[in-house]
Amino acid sequence: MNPTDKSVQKACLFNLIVYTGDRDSLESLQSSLDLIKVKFPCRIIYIQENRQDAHLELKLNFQKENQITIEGGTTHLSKIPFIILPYLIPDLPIYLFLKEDPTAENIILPFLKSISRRMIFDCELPENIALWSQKMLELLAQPSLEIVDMNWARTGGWRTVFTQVFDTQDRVANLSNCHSITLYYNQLSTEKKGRLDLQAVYLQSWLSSRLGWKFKSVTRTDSNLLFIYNIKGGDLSIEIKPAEMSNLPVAELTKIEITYRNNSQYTISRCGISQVEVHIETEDICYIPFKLPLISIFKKQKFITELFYKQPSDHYPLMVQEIGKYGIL
Amino acid sequence: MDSYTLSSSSKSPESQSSLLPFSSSSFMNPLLDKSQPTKVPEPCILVIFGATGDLTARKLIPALYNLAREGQLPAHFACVGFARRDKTNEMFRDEMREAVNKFSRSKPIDPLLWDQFKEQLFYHRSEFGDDKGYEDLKTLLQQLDTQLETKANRLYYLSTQPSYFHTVVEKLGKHNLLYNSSHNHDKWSRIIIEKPFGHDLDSALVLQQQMTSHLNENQIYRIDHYLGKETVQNLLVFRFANLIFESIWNNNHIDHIQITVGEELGIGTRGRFFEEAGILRDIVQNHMMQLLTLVAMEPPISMDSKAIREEKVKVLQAIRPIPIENIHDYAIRGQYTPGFINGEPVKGYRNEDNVAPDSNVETYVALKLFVDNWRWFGVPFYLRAGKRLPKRATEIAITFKNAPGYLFQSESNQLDPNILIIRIQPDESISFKMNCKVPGLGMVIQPVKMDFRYASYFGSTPPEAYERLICDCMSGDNTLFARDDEVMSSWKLLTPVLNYWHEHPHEDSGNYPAGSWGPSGAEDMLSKDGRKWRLI
Repeated sequence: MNPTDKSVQKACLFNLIVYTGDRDSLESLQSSLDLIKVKFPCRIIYIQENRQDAHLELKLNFQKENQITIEGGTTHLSKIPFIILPYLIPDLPIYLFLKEDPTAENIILPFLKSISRRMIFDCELPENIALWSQKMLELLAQPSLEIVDMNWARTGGWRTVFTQVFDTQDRVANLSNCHSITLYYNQLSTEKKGRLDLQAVYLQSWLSSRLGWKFKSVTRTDSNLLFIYNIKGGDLSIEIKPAEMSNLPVAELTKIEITYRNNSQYTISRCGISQVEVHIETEDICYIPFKLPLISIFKKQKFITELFYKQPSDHYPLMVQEIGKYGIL
Repeated sequence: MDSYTLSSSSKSPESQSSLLPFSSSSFMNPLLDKSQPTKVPEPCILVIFGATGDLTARKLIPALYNLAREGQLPAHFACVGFARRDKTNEMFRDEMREAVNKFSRSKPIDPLLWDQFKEQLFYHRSEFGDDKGYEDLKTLLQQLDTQLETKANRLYYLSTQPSYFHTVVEKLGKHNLLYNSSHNHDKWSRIIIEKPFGHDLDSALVLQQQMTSHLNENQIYRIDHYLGKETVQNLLVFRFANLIFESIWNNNHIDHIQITVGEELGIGTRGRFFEEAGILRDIVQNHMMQLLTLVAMEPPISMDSKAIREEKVKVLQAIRPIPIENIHDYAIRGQYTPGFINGEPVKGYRNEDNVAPDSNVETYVALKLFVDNWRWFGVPFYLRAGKRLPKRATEIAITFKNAPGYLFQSESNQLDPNILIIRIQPDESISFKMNCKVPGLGMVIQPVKMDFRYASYFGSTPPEAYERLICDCMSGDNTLFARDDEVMSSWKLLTPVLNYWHEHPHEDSGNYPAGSWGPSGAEDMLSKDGRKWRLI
């Protein structure tokens, strides 16, 4: 790519602006970007904010395959709009991929959001989840910007499994009145910092928002979380616990156990990366276990569809609203 | 002949929008995300009649495997192969594993997924006419319902010779393996049948009557795999999601339309079938008429299957009957003789296996049709389909009227008409030919092409047509399946041609060497109109 030739275009489907302030995420992001570029040609403008050296001058790098990298210190971020505008391919959608909290104050985010059709973010949630929820709901209310939360997208496979397992009126009604749910997430010894239970938190929030459970309390003990909900038959406890499963990325859910007051039990266990096995035992019947595919969004076509084409879910804002009830988590 | 009565496809529990999740009950699962326009295939058992045939190995099982891979197969699902040969479940599963390994669009086979998927494959040996075989099938299906919670939903795929359709449907009805959809709201049964649906109008009507004595029209899914192709589905998006084309998509701006389905292959091992069918029945009556309707239809009032199919039928009903007294101006046939394909000599049709040495079956057809409605009156639709043509190509070429050339009158300047070319396969693309000035002194004009190529933009391998179609059928979406009146309308148009050809055997003067673009009669048909076939 000729750095002076702003108009050079290959077959191109969209502009993708990637913004992060975390240098450590560069490696993981690049593999995702490579996944995108292989299947869907696009122009990528990668903005790397250097927070360690705030006064570092902005530097542009033109890489092959239509990728421009801009790196610089925080104090120079205000120049970014002037730099990237000429490199955006006209008439094509602009997608914004953030490795940042979209609700956080940031000098460049308002501009990036204003030119983007869709914002995809992948980040840890702050401790004050109630405040985060409130700000997210304000963002979600903006009609001009579609928002995709990768943490939510990661639970897509499990949500589909739930829909397939609880597919009759009776089963859904029973689920609505179960006694306890335990979700296990993978906490294989890892250097990865941050909240590993987020997918589990999202999934149980989704369930509660869909089934009308009333949140009562949440307590954290070491790596465990205990949620108490009020339901028709009494209290429902949802516990989130760590487990260990090799050959599975950390933070992925490994097992879900649902227990009913009559001691019926549903167990959905991960078997491998892309399957779960479902065991159902009621008072009278022990069903033959069956397997279901667990669709990962990180399969090429699915990843692209999830990021750029899938309509934002109606369930998501309600889940965010539910999460806001947890206060400080 | 005109007084056939067809069942209406309105208001039935089976008719559902293609964008909404389908459920045969009124239960709206709160866990289901209705904002996500994905189809939700229902639990069911798919029974494939003729499961030891080519179609099952090449298309059906690989399609099911890929649906499983994409999470689009229902959680509670089974597939039972029904055929005459003696096999166990394990033998069938092993054979299907080989088939998936060979024919699946995704390779290599995922061992974990296969281990799970194969547990859903079963084999049932029986003759198509054996009553006991159907009773045993019923027992097997009931066992599978209990074991796999498939909710007694049934999908019967008739991958057999058309002569068996009636037998199979009758036996299914006799042994209560089919449900009346008006009375059963908690379970369904559907039949998928492959083309050809009949071999002329009368036989199609008879077959329809036989089917509807056991089924409602909404339970019959007539598969035309062209409708499952991405590029064919894109026709609707191209036409109706881009306003710019709508105002020029009519007889004010379009000179003529050419639709070509060319194959470089001969008839291969299908000699026996082809001798009974010919290319008019094999390709024109179904695939080409579908392409024509999609190009010519009015915008539907919604993307609902009923709305789309209504518009397609209107096109078919507006096509002017081919005048038999002048048939040679409107319908040309030919048969390939020895020639060369890709530089290699190939034999003629009459030398192919299982073909009579004096066969008169056509391997090439060219038609000139007119759609007599406000939009298309006076615009000829030229259709051609042929075996052993120079290349494999399916395309729709829309040639626009010439611009007034007085502005660029000069000896060297001849304005080419604009042409919009929609390439269905291979090398899927949409391109537009237009005129541009050649840089330099003077006003020299050169035609150029703007291209959109699927491969350049969407590099991934799209789902195979059968994946989409089987998934749609399990979801109860019949948009991409031919309706009874569509089929009858196209038979009504083409049966007189078939009858004439039957009574007037093909003459060798209509032959064409393999590797050429067809008989000279086809060229003459257009040259009389001052036009030419596109050299693709």
